[in-house]
Amino acid sequence: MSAAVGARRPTTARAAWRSALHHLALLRAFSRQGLQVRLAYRSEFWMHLLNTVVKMAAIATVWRVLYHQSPDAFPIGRRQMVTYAILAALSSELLTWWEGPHFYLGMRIRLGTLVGDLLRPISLPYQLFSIRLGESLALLVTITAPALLIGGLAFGLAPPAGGYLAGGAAFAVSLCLSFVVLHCLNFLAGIVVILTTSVEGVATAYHGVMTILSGWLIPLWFYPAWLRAVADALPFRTVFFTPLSVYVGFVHGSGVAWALAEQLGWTAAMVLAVAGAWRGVRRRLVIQGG
Amino acid sequence: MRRLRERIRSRQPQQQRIGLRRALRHWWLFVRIGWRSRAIYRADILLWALGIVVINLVELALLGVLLRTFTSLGGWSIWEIVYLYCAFLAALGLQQLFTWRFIFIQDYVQEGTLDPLLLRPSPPLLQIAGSELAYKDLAHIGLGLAGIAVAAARIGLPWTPSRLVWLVILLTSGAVVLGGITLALCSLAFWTVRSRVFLFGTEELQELFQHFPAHIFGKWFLRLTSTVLPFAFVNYYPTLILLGRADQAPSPLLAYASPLMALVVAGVALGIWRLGLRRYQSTGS
Repeated sequence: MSAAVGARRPTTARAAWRSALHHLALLRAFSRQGLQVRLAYRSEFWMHLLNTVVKMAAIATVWRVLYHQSPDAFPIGRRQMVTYAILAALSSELLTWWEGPHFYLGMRIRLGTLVGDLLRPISLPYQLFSIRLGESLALLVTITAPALLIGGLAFGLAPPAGGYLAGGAAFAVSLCLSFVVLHCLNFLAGIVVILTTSVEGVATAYHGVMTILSGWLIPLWFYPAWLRAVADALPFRTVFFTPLSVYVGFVHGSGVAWALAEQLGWTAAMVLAVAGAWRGVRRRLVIQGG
Repeated sequence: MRRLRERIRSRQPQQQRIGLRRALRHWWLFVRIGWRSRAIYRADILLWALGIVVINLVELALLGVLLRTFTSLGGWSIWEIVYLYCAFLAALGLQQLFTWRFIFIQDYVQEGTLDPLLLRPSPPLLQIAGSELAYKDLAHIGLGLAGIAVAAARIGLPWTPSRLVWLVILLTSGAVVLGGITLALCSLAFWTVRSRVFLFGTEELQELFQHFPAHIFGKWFLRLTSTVLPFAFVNYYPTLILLGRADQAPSPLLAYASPLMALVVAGVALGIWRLGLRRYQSTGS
């Protein structure tokens, strides 16, 4: 198995190019599959949209009430804070840490069907990344965009700090990096699932860690110093806090470049961590049943 | 096939008429069988329960972070919000423990696995509910009760006998409301085949009631969730009563109507279930 994968490794520039094209084609195929899964059921779509709007409205309302109560506690303006809430709620649907590779791996391990995934000539982390990408693109179009429109009309959105072009681009880049970091974190959680064979336990604990250390519900500037220090030392905050604080202008000027560079560093580290951990696990993987 | 269907139909009226004692005995039998069939997953359940504790402590910590800066939300202090949160947890745990299998009604209908349940001389809903208890939800109940106790101590609420009685009544009615909504939504499977999605559609609404005092979302919202989607009776109105804030409800009568509302919701839900069951035709596969 591992010999077959090794043989595919390109040795020349042309082979590298062909391999890249090959990977893109596979990305397209797998993300299309993800897209189709997402669009298959209409009632699910409506309920998802409803949930997203309720979540967004609830969090935005809470922050609006709190801003009204004590405006001096906030380092950013009222509109910016409500925008933070809306974008946080919407991106938490798009960048989900509840479903994803960890649940997929858990299910495949339980059923013993992981062997089918391993037989495909494309690494499993990349396979799952492609599927997730397709699902997320579908979510972006079908859920996030309409919910954003509703949120904008109901609550009003602040424009990105630093202008639509520069600020918007920085936010978009940051969000793309978030997507990769989150996928890696989810996959690492999946590896823990494989090692412990406990889907629910690991997923729930992981959910807790993400919830508190990513800063999506409460911006990290409200955290007590010690908890802030813990969050700062770990990659979870780069998934939500980094792009959101770029958007609302909590980091500005050269701080934006610095935040993006740091996020890029975490992205690289996480990709390497996934590659290393997956190699280690694959060797000792035991497939049950048949 | 047609004969089988006729038999299924002809049995239905009889099944509903077994005595309470016999029903309880049947239920206990189902629960014991369910416990045995899940024997190999017991460690899993423990881990899951642990996960539940972790996740809720994290969410409570986040509420603590929020109220460290703002001291109150909608006029409620941190411990009052902890109380609200834990009242939801306890009601949820109680509901899930006994009726979590309701979300599988869709599968029974879709796969035709309802047929064997209809052939047994015991109410099908009792068989579905009893087929497995959600033991992991003991964590919800334990954590909820512990949180209620701690919050009450911090607020300085004395546990007088009448307050204890109210607590039991209100927790039970909260669980019944939640179970009723669940049953009503899941029973839609008899018409739409897929019904779990309707229950999932209320997920964020439940989160909202768990975390925040509902009056901050405005009067129309309270009206909606006191009637069509009666989630306000799960923990909001009960908490108003036990915190001595019943005058904050649109009408104090509404808050105290929680037990009555539980009966209404349960009645409507059972009505929908029976209506659906009468309509049921096996998939035949």
